[in-house]
Amino acid sequence: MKTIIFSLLLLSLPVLANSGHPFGLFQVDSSTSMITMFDRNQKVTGFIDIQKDFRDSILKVESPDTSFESTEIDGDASEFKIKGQLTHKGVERMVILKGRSFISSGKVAWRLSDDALLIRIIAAKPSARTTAIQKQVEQIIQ
Amino acid sequence: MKTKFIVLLFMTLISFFAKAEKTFRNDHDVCTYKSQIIDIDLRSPEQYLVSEDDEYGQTVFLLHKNSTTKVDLRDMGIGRYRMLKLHNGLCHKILAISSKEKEIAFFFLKDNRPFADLGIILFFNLKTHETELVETNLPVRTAIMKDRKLFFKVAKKDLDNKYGTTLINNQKYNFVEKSLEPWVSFDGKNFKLDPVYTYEKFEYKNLLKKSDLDKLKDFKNAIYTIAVNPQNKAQCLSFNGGGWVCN
Repeated sequence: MKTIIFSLLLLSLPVLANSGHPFGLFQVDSSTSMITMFDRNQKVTGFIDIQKDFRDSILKVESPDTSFESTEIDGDASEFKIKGQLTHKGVERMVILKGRSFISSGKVAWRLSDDALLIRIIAAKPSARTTAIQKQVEQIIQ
Repeated sequence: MKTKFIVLLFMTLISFFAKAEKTFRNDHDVCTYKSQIIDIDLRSPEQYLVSEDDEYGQTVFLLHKNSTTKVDLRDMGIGRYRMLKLHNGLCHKILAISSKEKEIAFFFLKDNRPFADLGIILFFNLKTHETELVETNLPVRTAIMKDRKLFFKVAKKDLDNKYGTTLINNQKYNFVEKSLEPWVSFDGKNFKLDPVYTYEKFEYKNLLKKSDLDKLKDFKNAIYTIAVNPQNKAQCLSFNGGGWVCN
């Protein structure tokens, strides 16, 4: 009996984790996140903006050689397909990447891939202080 | 033979990883907060740099109470940073303020040449040794500390300056049209445009009433034209395309 309850608890963990607050702007952690293009690993920066209607979310990431910006998202937060614009060394093309995500409080981990491209991202919500300062500066320089 | 080979392989691997981790000092400072010493070291993987680049580094090491905190400042692996230098009560070289109890905010500038470098703040908690790096797009011309408050002059692109000659009261003047570079204040939490300080530091404030600047709703994007008569050295100022005010 105990084993069954324990197993159920373990099974419910991902559900509980995903039930956090997934909406909002997440900043990519450039020290842990990577774009792998043609077996070349490159550190990546960018953001994930998760909207209430997941399909309206935006992913924009770039490395020194490669950048990717989503144009269309189909699916839900746990499993989805992202259509987007891939630019590699100045050459642009549309790609469709299969994605999986894990969302916990304040952090998201996404893995997106097709045959040639793999994007592994860990992104966190910037602190209230960072967001406030960046917003104030943007207002000043606009 | 086999043992020697393994030892050699092991040593080669050690030297490879040691080389991969090696960084060289670009700048260094010592700060004091309530008798506690914080050693701040800005480093980069390049041993030799040209003189224009030798102050720029990528990684900061903060040494406090025998604990070293490493902060990688790099954005996309290509950013370079230098200390924003201004002697102050906490540090000899790098601009720093106490943002709250047991926390110091260090200021860096991100390489943005040929334009002005961009302001970066590194918050360091002396109790937990946690850091928070806030990258901003604020182009910083210069900084001043006054009454424990920081003021930054926001740089505008010099390329936008216009030059020419004009007639004022039937006399020939040489003029230059420039963007006003406003000053912003930072109290450890908030950046605010400061019209009073902008007026105080305005080079031609003798030709401008203080109320004129206050009246301008959008003074951060103001343009002024300063005209000089080469014969009698008279100066005239036109603010946002208004009439000339001469001395």
